[in-house]
Amino acid sequence: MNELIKPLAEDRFQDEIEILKAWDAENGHARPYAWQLSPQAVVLFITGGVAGDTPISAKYFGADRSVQVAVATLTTDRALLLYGPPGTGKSTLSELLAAAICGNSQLIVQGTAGISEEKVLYEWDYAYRLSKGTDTGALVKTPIFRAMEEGKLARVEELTRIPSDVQDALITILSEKMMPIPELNTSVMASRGFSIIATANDKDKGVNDLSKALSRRFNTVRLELPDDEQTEIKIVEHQVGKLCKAEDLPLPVNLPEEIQRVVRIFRELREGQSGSETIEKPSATLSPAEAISVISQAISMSAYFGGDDAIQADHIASGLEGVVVREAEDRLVFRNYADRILKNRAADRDLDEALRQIL
Amino acid sequence: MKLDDQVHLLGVRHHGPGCAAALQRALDALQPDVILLEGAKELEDSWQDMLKADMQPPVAQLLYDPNQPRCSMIYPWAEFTPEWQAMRYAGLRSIPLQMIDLPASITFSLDEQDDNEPLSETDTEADNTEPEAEPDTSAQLPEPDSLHTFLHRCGIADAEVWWDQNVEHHRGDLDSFEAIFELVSSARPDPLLTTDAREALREAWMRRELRAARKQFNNIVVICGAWHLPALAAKVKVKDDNALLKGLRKRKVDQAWIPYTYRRLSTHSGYNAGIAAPGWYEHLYQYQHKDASPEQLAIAWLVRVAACLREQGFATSSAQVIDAVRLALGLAQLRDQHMPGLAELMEAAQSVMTEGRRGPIELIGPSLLVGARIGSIPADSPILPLEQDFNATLKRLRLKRINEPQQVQLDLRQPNALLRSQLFNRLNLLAIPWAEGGDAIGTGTSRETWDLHWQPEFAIAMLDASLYGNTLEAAAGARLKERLDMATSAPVLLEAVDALLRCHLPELMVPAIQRLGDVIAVSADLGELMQSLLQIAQIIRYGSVRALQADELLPLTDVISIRVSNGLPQACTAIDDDAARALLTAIDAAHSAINMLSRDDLIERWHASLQGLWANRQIHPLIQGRIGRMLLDSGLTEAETLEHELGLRLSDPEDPMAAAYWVEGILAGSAAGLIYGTSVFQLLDHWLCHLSEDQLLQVLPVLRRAFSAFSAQDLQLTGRNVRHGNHRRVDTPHTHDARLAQQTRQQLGRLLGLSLPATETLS
Repeated sequence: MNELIKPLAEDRFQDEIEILKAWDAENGHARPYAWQLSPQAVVLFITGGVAGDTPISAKYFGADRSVQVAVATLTTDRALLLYGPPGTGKSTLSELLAAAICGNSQLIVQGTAGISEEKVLYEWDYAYRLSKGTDTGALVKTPIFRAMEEGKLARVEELTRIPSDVQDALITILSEKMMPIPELNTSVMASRGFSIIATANDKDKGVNDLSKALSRRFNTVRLELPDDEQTEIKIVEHQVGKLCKAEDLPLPVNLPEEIQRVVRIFRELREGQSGSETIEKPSATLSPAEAISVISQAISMSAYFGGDDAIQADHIASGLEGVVVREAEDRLVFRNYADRILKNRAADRDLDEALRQIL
Repeated sequence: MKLDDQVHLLGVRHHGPGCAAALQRALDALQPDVILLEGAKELEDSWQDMLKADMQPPVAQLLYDPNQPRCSMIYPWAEFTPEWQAMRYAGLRSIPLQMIDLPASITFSLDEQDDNEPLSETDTEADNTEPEAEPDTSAQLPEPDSLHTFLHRCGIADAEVWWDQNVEHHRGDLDSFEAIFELVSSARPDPLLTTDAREALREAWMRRELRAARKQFNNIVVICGAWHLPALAAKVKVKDDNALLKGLRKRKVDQAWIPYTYRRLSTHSGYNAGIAAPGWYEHLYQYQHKDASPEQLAIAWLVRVAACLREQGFATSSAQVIDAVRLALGLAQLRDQHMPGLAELMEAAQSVMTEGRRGPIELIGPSLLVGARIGSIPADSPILPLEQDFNATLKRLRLKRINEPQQVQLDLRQPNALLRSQLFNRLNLLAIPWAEGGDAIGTGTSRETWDLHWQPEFAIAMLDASLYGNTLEAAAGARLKERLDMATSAPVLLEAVDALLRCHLPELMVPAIQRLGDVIAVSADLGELMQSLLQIAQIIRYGSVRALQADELLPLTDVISIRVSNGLPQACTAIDDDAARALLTAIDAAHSAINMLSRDDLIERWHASLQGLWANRQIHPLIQGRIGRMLLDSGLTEAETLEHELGLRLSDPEDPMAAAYWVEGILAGSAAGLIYGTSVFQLLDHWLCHLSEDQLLQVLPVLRRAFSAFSAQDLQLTGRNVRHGNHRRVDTPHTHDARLAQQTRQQLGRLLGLSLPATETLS
């Protein structure tokens, strides 16, 4: 059998879920109806730690408090909206929550600009309808439909990309916990345990903002970019390591220093703060995902064109320019930053020189 | 905690709402015949004023040395302060209440000794003692350093949150105090081993007071910061305590009640650290006091959150309040807490009510968490310490408060005059406009004229000002700090810096520069930045007249100069004439600021940037002309280069307006060094003569403006040049239209306000 690129979370981490089930039983943790784990165990599954004596791996590197709010939301009958800039792990968190709570992370509706109501609610099997007439057998159930029937979590990715009228089809489902099927003069009632986890990103252009009526049905958790430097470095190192392994690239000797430097620059620009000095912020998001791409690009360049086993400052510089300068004004912001901050840091002077060539 | 049959020790956290509620229950259960409170002895004289009808917390009791009001101790009381509830209990039941802490008279005298020991008795040294004089009242936990350290050692990251969750959030009663005692006893296994001599002294004094009370009463309750409990319970020989307390000197102490605010109580204001969220503590106290359930507390708080959000224009429904309550309770359960704390409630509100956005929650923070509550004191209370400080200052500076207008001339080189100027400025800052006039920094004069006129309503202004502090210096400092915190633009902040220099509040320099740095680094308005540069240069240069040190502002000039140098090329291109004119003023300001500061690195960067602009043909001609002039004046370019450029510029017959702007820019309002001795004059003359009539009419307003800034002498000289035509011709045309030349000559003559004889021909 071929090797999967990425197996489902519930399969990848099946061992840990079993461990946590036992841990719940041992400690008499209460489980909400239809949950396979207690809320405490779900949080532990995602953020990592120790269950009894067994270590549980950390799967999501973000604010633990946000994860707690997300889990607590799903214990009530409210739906959950994960909101935030790209590259903050919204979909990862959504997948992990579904896998941990109901053991099924596959009930996904991918939001697109062209999606129709039929893809959200239900479709008809017209061959069946023509041959046997309109009855429940003619229904093609969407993932949301099945989640309602089975009392599981449905995932809606990129909710704000869905056209507004289609979005609003979710209102009845979320407030009345039922989906009317007027053609059959009936409706599907949601079983206990059903809820929706939606994700949306706030940096996209051309999105359809949620109507007030719909957004009131969600508790919103904003996922922010990592707020501490060590976490961010850890995320970048982890991912870059994985990428290099996948592409069989040698790790440059100065990789840790360069990751530290790029993350530091990203954080300073993002927060508009370098030490005690305030600086201008560029318009780009500068997520860890982009830091990873800057570093891996630099690694490829040094491996194929560098003739050296170390990353050069100009490899970093061109990548940085690409992610930082999104609008015309960003160029000036970046230039000011180089003059004020990089130039005055002995270790970054080479980068300042390299940037001088391109900015 | 029952110490023996005669004494109960109740340890609290100052301003702990749960402690306050628990304390009331404990007192009801114990029915003591005397209460001993951790407060300076002198407070005994006035605490009973709290029972007066007009007394509304938050208020504070102030102890101070009348000869030196900055030497003071302040005891702020809010409704949720355990000590306040203890005083109420004693007052309403007419039970004696004794204050058992070291008298302020001794504390002040000890402070003085401490000050004199290390070195000097300068102003700044005295400033440093202020926070030290108020150790207890500003503390959040009993003795932060110590209990914090202990809890840290136990692996608790945030001692504040831990104490809130484990003490303040619980419904406490007499038994809770057993637990508190146990906690601090394990934190202080040997309470007599303390490195802090002052603390040892205070605890010895409290033990002595307790011994005295034992002789008089049978059912004693001692209420003090939890940290002191083990020391009070310790068995110590009477003679050891007495030995420690021997030979203490005293100083004179006055006291007063002052109205207080939640704002001042919170960390957000003034010099003293305080409690972060008095509004939340008040809420928590009321619910603890009423024995309400966690649900009720969460509902009432989230209803308030919703109301605050609506006030800010965010639609918030009751349904959202319900959902937020459920989320908060769920979160508390998940986090293993028996009730949702402030963190859970606000996270729930953020998730349900504001679509996860943090901004609106931060926006309502001040009104919700701090609260606008202002206390009041009875009208017949004794004179405010601030007013006393004011009177003392007047006496010291030999000024009189009279109702008639009077004028005062000050020469700031005299020390007394400088102090007077500081006084007037401070009063103005506090909205007590007794003295009007003065003079802004930046003019370089050392003379000031002030008009003094005392108005009766200043007494009310004085009361308002007393909310900020008890001395003019402290109040002015707190007021200015508030202004700094609220200012968002560089000009406003620079005004505040100007004020702090004039009011002599040097300790605010660091926060002011920090704020200014924040604003300057991100301000999008390049013109404003350049104007700010000039303001900063003026403050640095002329501040010395007032014996001010403003050199800390220098790093800011670096930031501005980098941003201006990088930003100017873009800012000067593709702009209209009005924008160019505005920018030109700013560039002039920056140019003179750089010259005034005369620092090599700044000058180097500025000159490089000017040369870059000079080479850039895209920028507005008005600005480019001026930059050419700046380069010439700074000796960075030859007159010939400028002439060459001028020739090029003026030779474009299609765009006479651009040429005219260029001329205006380069003339820069003065003829010196440009018109005479160079061929600039001929070039101009030549250009003017070759304009068509339409073109001439078009450029006339601009030229008029260019010459109107000339001094009379310059005009005369220029006119003489025109009349006599005493100039050499460079690359002039060989023929000319005499009629046209005549017209131009007359036009130019009219422009310069001269009448030229029509018959004279051009040579």
